[in-house]
Amino acid sequence: MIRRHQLRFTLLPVFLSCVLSIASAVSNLNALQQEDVLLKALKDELTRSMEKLQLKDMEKPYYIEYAVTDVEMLEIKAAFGSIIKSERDRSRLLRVEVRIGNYDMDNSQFVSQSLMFSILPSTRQLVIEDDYLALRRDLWLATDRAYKQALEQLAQKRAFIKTKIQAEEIPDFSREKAITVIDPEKQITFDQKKLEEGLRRLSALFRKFPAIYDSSVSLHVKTAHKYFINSEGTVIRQPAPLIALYIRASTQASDGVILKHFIPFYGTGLDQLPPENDVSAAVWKMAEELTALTSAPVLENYLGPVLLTEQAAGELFSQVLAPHFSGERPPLLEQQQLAAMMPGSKLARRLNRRVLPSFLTVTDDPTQKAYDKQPLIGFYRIDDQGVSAQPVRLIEKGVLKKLLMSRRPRKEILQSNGHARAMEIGAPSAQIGNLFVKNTEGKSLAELKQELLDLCRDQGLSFGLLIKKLDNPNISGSGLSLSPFSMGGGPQQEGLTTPILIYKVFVEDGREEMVRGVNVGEMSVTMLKDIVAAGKDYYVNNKLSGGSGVMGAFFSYASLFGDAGATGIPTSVVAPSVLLEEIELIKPTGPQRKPAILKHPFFKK
Amino acid sequence: MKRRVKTSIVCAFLLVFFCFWPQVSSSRQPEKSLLLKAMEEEMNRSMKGLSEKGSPPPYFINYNVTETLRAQITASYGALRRSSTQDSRLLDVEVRVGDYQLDNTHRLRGGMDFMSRFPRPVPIAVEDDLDAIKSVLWLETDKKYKAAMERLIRVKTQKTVKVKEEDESADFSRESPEKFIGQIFKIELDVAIWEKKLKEYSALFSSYPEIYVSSVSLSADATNKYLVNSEGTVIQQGLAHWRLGVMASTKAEDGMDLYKYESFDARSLDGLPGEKKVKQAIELVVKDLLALRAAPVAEPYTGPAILSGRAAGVFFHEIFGHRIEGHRQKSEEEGQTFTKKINQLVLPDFISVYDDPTQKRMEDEDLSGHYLYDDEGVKAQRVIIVENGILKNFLMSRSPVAGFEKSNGHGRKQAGYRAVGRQGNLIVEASKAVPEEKLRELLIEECKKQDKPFGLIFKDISGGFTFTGRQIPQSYAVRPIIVYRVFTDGRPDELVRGADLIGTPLVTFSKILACGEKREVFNGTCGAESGGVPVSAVAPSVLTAEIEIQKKEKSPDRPPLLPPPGYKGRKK
Repeated sequence: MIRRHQLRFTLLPVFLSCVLSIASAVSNLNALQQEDVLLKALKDELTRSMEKLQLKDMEKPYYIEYAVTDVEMLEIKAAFGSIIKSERDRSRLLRVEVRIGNYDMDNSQFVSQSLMFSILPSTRQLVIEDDYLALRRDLWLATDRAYKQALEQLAQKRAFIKTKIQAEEIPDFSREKAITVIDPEKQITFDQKKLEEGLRRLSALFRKFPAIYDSSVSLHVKTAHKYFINSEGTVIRQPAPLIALYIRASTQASDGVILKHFIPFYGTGLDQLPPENDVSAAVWKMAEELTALTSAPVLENYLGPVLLTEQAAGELFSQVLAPHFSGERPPLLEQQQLAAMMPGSKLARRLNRRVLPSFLTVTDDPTQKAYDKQPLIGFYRIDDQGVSAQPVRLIEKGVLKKLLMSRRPRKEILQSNGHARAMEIGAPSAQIGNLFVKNTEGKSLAELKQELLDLCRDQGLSFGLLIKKLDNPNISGSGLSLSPFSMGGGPQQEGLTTPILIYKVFVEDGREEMVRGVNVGEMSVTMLKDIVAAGKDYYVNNKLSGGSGVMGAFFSYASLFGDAGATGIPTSVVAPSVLLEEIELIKPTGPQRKPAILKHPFFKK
Repeated sequence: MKRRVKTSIVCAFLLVFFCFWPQVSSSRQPEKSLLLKAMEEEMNRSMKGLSEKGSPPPYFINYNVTETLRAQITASYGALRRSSTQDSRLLDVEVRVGDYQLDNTHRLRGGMDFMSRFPRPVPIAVEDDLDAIKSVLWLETDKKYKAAMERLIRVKTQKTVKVKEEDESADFSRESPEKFIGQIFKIELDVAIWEKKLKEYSALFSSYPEIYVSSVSLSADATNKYLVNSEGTVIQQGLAHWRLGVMASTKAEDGMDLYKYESFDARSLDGLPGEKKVKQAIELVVKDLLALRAAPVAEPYTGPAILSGRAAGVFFHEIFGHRIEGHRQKSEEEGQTFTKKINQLVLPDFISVYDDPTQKRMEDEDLSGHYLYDDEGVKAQRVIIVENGILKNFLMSRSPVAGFEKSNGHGRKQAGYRAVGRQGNLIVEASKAVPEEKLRELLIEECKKQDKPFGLIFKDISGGFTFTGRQIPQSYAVRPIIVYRVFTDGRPDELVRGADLIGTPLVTFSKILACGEKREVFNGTCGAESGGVPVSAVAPSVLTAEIEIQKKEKSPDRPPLLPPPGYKGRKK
């Protein structure tokens, strides 16, 4: 409905003859909010449910929320110059949360064996048109189901608390003030044929690289609007557009080892992607690097200083630090064995302790849209529980000062700081938005390299290592070689993904030599204390994260074949190059399949 | 036995249906597509190259490409729930190393061979770009060849260390090459018009507050299959399937879930029903559901019953059809009920069963299980399975079993899976049949004989619907939907709800007393280890002396507490 009016409005100067349209556009502009059929349906069904939804002799809900993500998705995939897939999809996913009890003690966050899957909130598809009654019907059934489930959860939780444990003093749900934010809609317009043409051209670049076995280019254009409404009076409509362009390539080295490379580009509008020439240049560089890797020497095991720069620096913090800032109190578990499934934050218990070297300070600020002219996809104004995003100074001079909070309080922190984030499917949990790792004594790359070599000299090594790129299996598609539950962004992960670009830096003359074939042995958040220096250049690492816990594992599983697409929680990490005193790299064992027996049919001539 | 039951549950009739749609426009000779040419060329290069350089060389390579052009529209209560189109081409490469007698596909005993069953079709260019297509064919062939070599080593090792297998027949049958170039199909659908139509239809449910969930959907699929193998088989065949479906569900006051589905299948858009017929179907769905809501719950019962043609068709498909699939006779993990029953009486002597994929139409309906060549490039054949009650044959893919060395054109699969013997059009015939009225009299007679106050008539059966849409999370097991009690004392028939069929299903067949004259068609998609394939079951109504039902487990959730929005003042 709204969309139509907006369109008329923008076309106003052009179609002056269309008098009727103009009249309706002007008169309706003020009434944007009232005119949003989806919002109206959400409000009305929520009001009715709060007033009347009650099973005889049982409690009424004290809180209801609806979160709807309205998505129009275009996905184009091309390989070797031709289209594999070009599809559009429209969906509206609804998440309903019904809470019974009160803010201090309600049905939420209780995990029992019989309610194992009820911690996954019921997600439903709404009709994709602005039909008021049809929308209300979908909401009606979803609310009814959520209410009945909440009753059951509360009964079980009360019984458990009564027999097993002392009641916790900390509230289950924080009180937050109601806000109303209705942002204008943001439609991404595109010419599908033209985009397909562009992808054909980009993917055809690989026709120049005989050493590369397999490659693809995929583009995801997602127009999304997030609706959120709760019984406390919060009403939100905010656009959440996302563009993702992925280039992937893989091949085998002469010893059979599988080599991969990829580049992601993200933005919130098509205009945020670099011009095609720049993308082509990046693809070209990537293809050259992958080609070079096929003949690069294999590095044997290594133990010593490592300099991480560019994407590798960003990934280090994305993978090792970012997942551990949640301050949410863990759920109540009926059986302790279930704890293994509920990974908690590794930093939460280290408040006011040193977790990084004193020259590093870490802030999460979702309200930033860009850094150094590069888009930050972790931007949002209001979080997925309807709370305004706040900048949080997490680590001050190396000391952990604050945590990221949703409306699930912990003893030390009773309020949300606007960091509840959810995927289209799944409950919100506290996550980063834009994480800024800043240092007070930034060094140039040359200085960092010198420090690396100095460290090597001290340790009697003839070379040190420089890592520029780490794998992201959600994009590159590590297939079945990894267990689905050990990949992705879940905090359960220990270690780093496989390095893609590794260079030996020789002590004698500082020259760099590309090597391949090692994995990072161990890397945990506590090892970040051993960062010895950081650079003054900042790398923006945009990334879609699966978030923590069960949904994170689910995300990893879904992206097993490197088709994460544009789902996941958009996050950004801005981080400097860092030098670590000691990292162990290990050559993976196990048989390798030989390289292809016949020549690539295109290059055989 | 347990495994058996499981298999038949896995085999479910899905809601997406498939029928043929002959291209109206073209009468000229179909041409070999560029895609097929690319497949042939790369096949020849691979076979030649790998024979020279591979050690051991492959003895067989097969390329399958399944091209699907799909449109799906679903509407509920006057609004679109989904409207999408998808085009895809999925490639399957099969490489065999060893020889026809013993190759890499040989079943490994013990241990989990789980990953090899994981379907992984490879998407390829939907455009006829031969270089792009050949590059994927090359890489997949290389991967599959190496995997085949590795597996053959394990197969050979196991052969030497484990005891002799019961069935020592070959791993792969020898078949003569086939060449067939058929028409390629497309979907031509005016999406806007159909969205409007479906919305209008779906809005009809708005006047029934007692029906909580409903939808009307259209699915249109054009499936073009391309097959090339190293024995010289080259097949290009197309299919089109259209289905209009009406679904609704509700809950009885005691919380029992109730649902009803009506559908129309056709080979072309023209074959779909007009407004009047669709509206009638919607009315019927509503009427049945409202009646079911008010109907008493079925009590546990053992005694005589009539299965309508559709119900009997599903029964034969599930309980009989899956047990005569060839590969089940070979696997030592299977129950093998019929493996050693060839030339023995397995059904009453007035019943014959055959599977005939070459049939396009029966009883005035298009048959979904029709095809010309199976997914291994073998020509479809009419196979007599049971003749006058005596078991004669199995449904064979190219995986031989003792005494059945050749395929009979029933090797079928979904893209990404390995073909096994599957049903196409399963057709049940009775040499003695009575009019439907007479069958009912026989039922009452049998009830009296067994001293039962009533018998049952199963009019409609769910066939274990598994909804493919995202909206409907429930998947139903094989379950009767419309069941009537027929009383011996002349009382009118009584609809009951919540009857679940149990017991040993095979007993039901052995106790068939008579069949009706009227045959009915059930079209569906059957899912099993080689994926979902379109099938049909055609059967007469049958009277059996014994069937056993139990009370269906009902959902603990009550009906919705509030009335549907928009029904002011009409509290339930």
